[in-house]
Amino acid sequence: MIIINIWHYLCGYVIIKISSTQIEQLINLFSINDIYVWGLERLSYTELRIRLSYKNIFHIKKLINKTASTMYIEKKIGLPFILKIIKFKKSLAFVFIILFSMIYYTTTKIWMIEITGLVKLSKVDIVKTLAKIGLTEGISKSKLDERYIEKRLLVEEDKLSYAGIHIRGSKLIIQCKERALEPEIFEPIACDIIADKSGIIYDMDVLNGYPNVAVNDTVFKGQILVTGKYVKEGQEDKYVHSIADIKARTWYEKKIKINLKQNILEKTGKHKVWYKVYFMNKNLFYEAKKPFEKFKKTTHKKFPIYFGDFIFPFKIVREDYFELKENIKTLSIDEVKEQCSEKLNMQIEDELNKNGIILSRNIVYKMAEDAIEATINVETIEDIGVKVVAQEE
Amino acid sequence: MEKIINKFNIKLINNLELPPDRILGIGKITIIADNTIEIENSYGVIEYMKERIKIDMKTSIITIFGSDLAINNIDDDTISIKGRIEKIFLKEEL
Repeated sequence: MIIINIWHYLCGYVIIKISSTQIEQLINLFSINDIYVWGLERLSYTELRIRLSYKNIFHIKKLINKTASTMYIEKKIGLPFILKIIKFKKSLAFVFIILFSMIYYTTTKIWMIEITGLVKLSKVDIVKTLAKIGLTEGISKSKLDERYIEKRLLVEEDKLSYAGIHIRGSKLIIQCKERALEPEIFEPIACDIIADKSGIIYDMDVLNGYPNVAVNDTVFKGQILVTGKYVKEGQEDKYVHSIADIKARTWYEKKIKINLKQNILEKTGKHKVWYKVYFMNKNLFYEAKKPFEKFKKTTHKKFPIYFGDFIFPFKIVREDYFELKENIKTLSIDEVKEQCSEKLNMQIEDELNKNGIILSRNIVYKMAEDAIEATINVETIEDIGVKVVAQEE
Repeated sequence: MEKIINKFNIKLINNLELPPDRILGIGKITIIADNTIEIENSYGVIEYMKERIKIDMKTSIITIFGSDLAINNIDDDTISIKGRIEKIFLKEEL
């Protein structure tokens, strides 16, 4: 029934009120003349309301005249009548044409770049690289050479191993895969194990290769600990793949100096929200001066009009400004000591190898005018062995 | 003579198990619940009121009683009626 109604709407139909003393005869005449009518309503003894196709209205007029009845068109419903209105109102038609051409124009461009699959690399860096290549928001789809951009992106970004570009609606999706860390040197490549830090050997487990050092020996950075070269008189030199787990005691010493008087940026509590409206990447309104001298800004952008993957290039950006004020504060000695300790520990953790254990930690604080000087001494046990390819002579 | 031919036709169609409404143009009435009636092979509307509709079926007149009765659609051989149907008289001699 819905399909029939839609069909009637598309073809156009009229609602007619008929006044006649021979209602039944009229209905039979419609039937005999093969005029399809529906929704018949008997309003009174002499009145009838019917619905019929717009095309049949001329046929019905003859029958009405035959039966000496009168008719009145109450309503015209359907698409042909709407189109007729548009035909008469040229300005409206003009607006429609402009609107449709604008929608068509916006569908030919890319309005959003989505990057997926990043773990360590930041999206901002990739977007900058893309801009260097020539891919920015608002670029025409016809000018876009996907394969070329994929290749250039891989050349420009060394850390990427794969980049795939797909266009969906007005969205450009870039699937990235970061390059895995350089693989370890596996057998059967001949290799030595050298020390990457100076220290005293604490423990050695040599599974393959020939040790050059023993436990409690002092070793320096770059010294060969386990060699893959096997030398025996009367025999040719042989090279093997060295495998060893070498732990050593290492020491770190770091220094830092932090002033008691510090410039601290603090929020004053003043907060302003700005909305910017962009159409096709162009700001529609005048851009005013920033509300505060020093501020912290957060932005959220939103595309309010979208149909599936087709995004209308109408963007609303919300900017939150929080006023900041520089205050020169004199911190207490304990607070500065805490800062020193935090920073020094961070530095040590950055340098420490994986699986490293801290045996002892000693921090010495010294007052120096309006500052505190802190020195940290750390003793650790860590893996210091690093594989390097043996240089065959 | 015509009655005899008709009787013979009906007998023949019954024996051959053919649909009589298609071949002889005999009226076919379909009632759906108590609000819809579809009548095929009708010969026109005799009376159309909100409480009563009379339809010519060649051999008899069907009278439908009810309230808010209305002809939903009508074409060359089918009439669809909607409304609250209370009674139907199938045989009213012409």
